[in-house]
Amino acid sequence: MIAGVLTYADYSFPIVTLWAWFAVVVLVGGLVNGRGGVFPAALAGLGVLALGEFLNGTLSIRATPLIGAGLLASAEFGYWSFELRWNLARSKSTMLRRVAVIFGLVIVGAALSGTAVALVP
Amino acid sequence: MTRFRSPRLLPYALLLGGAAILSIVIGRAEAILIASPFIVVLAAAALGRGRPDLDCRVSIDRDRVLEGEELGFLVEVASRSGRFEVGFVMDLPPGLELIDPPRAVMLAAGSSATMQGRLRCRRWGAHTIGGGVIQARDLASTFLHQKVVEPRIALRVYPRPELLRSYLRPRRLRPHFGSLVSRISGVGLEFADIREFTQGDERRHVNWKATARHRQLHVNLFHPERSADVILLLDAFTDVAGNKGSSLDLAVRGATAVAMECLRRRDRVGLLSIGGTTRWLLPGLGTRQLYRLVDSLMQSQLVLNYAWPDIQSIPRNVLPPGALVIALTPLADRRTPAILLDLHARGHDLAVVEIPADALLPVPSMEREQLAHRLWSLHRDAIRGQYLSAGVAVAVWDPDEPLRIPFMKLQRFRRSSRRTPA
Repeated sequence: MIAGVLTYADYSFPIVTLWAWFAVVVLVGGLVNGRGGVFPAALAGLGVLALGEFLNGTLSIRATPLIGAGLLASAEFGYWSFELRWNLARSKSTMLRRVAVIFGLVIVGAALSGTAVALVP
Repeated sequence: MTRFRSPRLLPYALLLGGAAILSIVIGRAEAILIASPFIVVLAAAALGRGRPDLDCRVSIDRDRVLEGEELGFLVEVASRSGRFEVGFVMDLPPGLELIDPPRAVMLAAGSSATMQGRLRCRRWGAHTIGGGVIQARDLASTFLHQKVVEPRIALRVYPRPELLRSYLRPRRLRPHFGSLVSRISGVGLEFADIREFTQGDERRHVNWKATARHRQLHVNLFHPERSADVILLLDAFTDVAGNKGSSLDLAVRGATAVAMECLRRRDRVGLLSIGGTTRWLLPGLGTRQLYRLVDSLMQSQLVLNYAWPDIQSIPRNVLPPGALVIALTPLADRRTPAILLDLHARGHDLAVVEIPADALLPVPSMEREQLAHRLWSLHRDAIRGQYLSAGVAVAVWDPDEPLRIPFMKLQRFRRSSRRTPA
């Protein structure tokens, strides 16, 4: 999602777009291989790229809740995927509950960020 | 319960702090605005600091199973406080395999739940199971609480025995009823001979046809059915383990099969395990003895010891005179031939089933390994030669073939070597 936003925002200057998609590939690779070090580095890279775009003026400040919520969702689902690799089996209802909790956290986080954006003069 | 913080909380806090500092330094709000959703997880962690109070009880379907069978178990968990996702990670000893782990459940305060699981018993043995770690997480998984559950359930996995229809005929039989036809004459079912009637002969044994032909009373003679004493000698000095299993595993499986067959034909069976420690079971009869034997066999394990035990340390009643001693050995330790040849020299009827240690090990690839393997094989050949030259029957039991094959070879050797009437 973040890479998509950056692609849309930075269509005329594709270096950031390329870096964003590279970060996504690294992130997915880290998740698939269960590399705990690669995954947060890729997330941080995406956050830094998004921040650069904001500071450059390519992205509106109103997109920050969306970017922040996307980063949080990626971080939470990524961490959960690492948890699932451990030897504790979970029932389907427990899995659905966890998905609901993560979505709840993301929505509340986005709402919090949105409120802060609205308060910024 | 021991509490562990989720490893993601510290990076989240650092991210928030770094973003706040960056926002202040550059005078722009975007950095902290991007990082602000992460504050929700930290808030959830601050709110969910309660500790769970859990009771856990593990139970199993049955406490005696056969090797290869599956076993169900239940984990009953009750919570007195909080709302947590509770799971159980079972610790299993070698030989048991978890095929269906218990699935984590949500538990509210005052509620209880049952988690089901299944495990497969791959190897025989006496195990204590039911131990593990019970884990509880809050809804956002910001804290992990763990409690160790001690194993308390005794589980016996019996070896799946080889089918053995017949085995060796002992050279000496006991003067007790059994199912082995003795070579001497007496009271029995198998016809042996005809002789003239003497005082004390029973009238029902009179052979009327022979009497009419010879015009003199003749009686039938019979072979009595007798039983024997069989001692299973297990070599626990070394356990050669490889891809195809271990020599001790095979020896236990073979000994169980022989014990079952012996007890089926009403022989007395005893056990003598020599190794780092010497253990024995006095000869006995019946189903109870079978359970005793199998329980004793399951406790067989390798105990490293450099002591050189001899036959003097074995109680006299463990080895009754004339007992057939069936030794199951990988021929890998020099102490075993010394004991076995001593037994043979003392007049015990001895037969050796060799567990082929080299067949259990992977084929050596390096030249130096191949040389060592050849030397080892030659050493074992020399031991085998020692037995054969002493007149002791030795047969190799290939793990891929049924146990009756080595027993047929042993019986053939014993028939050809000498004949002693029983």
